[in-house]
Amino acid sequence: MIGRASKAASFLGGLATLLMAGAITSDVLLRYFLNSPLQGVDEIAGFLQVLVVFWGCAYAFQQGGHIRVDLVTSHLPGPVRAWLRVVTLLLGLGLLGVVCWVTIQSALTAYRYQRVSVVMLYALWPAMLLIPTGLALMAVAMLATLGRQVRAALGPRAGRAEVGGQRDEA
Amino acid sequence: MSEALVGTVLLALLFLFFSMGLEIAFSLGLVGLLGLLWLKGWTIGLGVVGSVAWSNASSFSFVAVPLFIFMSAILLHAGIGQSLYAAVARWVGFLPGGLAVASVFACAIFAAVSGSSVATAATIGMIAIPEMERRGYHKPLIYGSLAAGGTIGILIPPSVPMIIYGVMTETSVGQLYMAGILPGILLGLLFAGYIIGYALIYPDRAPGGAEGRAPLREKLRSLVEVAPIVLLIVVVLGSMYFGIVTPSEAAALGVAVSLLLAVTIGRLTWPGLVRAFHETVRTTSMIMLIIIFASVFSHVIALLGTPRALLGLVTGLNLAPWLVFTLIFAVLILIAYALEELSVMIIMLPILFPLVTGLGFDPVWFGIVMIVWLEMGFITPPVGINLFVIQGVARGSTMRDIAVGATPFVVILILLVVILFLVPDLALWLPRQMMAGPR
Repeated sequence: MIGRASKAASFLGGLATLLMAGAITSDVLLRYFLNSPLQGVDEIAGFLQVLVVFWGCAYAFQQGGHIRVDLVTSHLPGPVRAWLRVVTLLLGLGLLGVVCWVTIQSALTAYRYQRVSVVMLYALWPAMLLIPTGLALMAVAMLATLGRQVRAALGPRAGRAEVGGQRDEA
Repeated sequence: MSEALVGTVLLALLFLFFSMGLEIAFSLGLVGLLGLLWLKGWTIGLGVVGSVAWSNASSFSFVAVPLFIFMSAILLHAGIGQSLYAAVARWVGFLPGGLAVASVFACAIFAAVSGSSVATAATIGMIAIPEMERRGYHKPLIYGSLAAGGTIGILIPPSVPMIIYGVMTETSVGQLYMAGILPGILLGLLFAGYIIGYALIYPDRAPGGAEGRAPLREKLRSLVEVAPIVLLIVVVLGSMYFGIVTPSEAAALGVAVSLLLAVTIGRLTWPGLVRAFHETVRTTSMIMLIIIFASVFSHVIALLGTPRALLGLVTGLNLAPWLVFTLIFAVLILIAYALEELSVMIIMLPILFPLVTGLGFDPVWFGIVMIVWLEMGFITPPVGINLFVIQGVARGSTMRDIAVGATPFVVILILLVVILFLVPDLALWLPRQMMAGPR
């Protein structure tokens, strides 16, 4: 369920990238050949990129895509690694909680003061809301992993290791 | 508490988080957040985090990152560029070690349409590795030439790491791109020279074959097959060189043309496109999250005045610039053995860049040196990303063969840095010839 949600969000990120490429290409072609550029493409592309970055981070997390250093931990015994991962997941969740809260506040402020983009005067708050929503999805994915990690750490000795998240090769 | 002490505590905390296996982005974010709260209090500190996240993620200059990653993913899944290897092999196959030389040259040409070393090594490796294995090439030579050849992907433009360097240091990405071309070509020649020498010493490790003796007509026909790649190079690099577009716009044009090629002559299917979607989003999200949290961290570093203090300290020592540069580079090489290099570059730039440019080195030149250092890291065990790519592409390869094969190429990369140091114009001449762009 969470896996499907993050994958769907990542798919939307892919569509957003495609849209970005399409809009910028049209702008360049119109500017170069007809001398009539599309207004505001830069701003739209920036908003779309916010979607790519933050709606994609849950999927990246599930795929083990966020880089970690395993130089030290790979030498530790399984049970130690299991509990250490519980600690790091909690640390990560704490940070995400703070950033989520901050970015919700910024979006609310932007809504209250009707903050708009420089050129096209688009309202900023909808795009700003992409940040906490994406991070919240990532937090849910991390909570699920945390649950499995705690069970693994408490479970049978042989299974006490780190769960999920393969090495990244991107 | 003094600023130096705060800085030391934060740095120690950062390395503690790294070694615990906390995600690099989160480690930077947590330490940066703590530093901001400490120095500026809740309201201002949290405000910085919010605005840094928004301004980086919505920056139009960074849009080139997902777009160039997407372009590489499309080419990879459509199989465009694979015919490149056979075409190049027809031309250089007569040389000693011809198939490995062809791998390097095919990588260098593909590098001109790919911003990533992973996509370059994977695209060319998929065809070249089985070909060389069938011929009975020495395994370390096969894997080494492709792992190393792939890294040319980030030196010859387009290049994702150059965008990151350029945007973070406010250096022109267009100029960086032009600056990478000649060193990239030279690197390809140096790699090829090493392979030829190796094949002359150990002829049985690189047995010769028939492709070099192909008739001229066949050779010319092979050029037609690489026309799509040439078209892409002209669109992406040409439009930038003549100042028609910004790097982000060139990336968008590149995506459009690659999609067109992928649908008309390539083998891009819907599932392939969806895979390209996911790869693009995953990599972009990973890189941008590190950039965002690293800039929270570098905010703290700037507040503490670390870069200025460091520059003062170094200039106070009165060392020759080349000595300082050598020391910095030696430390960087050691770090490359321990950590993932792109993250290291993002973390270190706010400190290194003011120091190096303060000593009088050119920002564009230093960018190229950082890219060559990244290339080195990509083929250095245990975390060199290209080593894993080759392991993934070559069935039955051992990490030992790959690492052994890549080591001589690390030495050549160090040689390139020395050459760049002695002849800075190798990088800086071409950017001076470029026409002024829209940005």
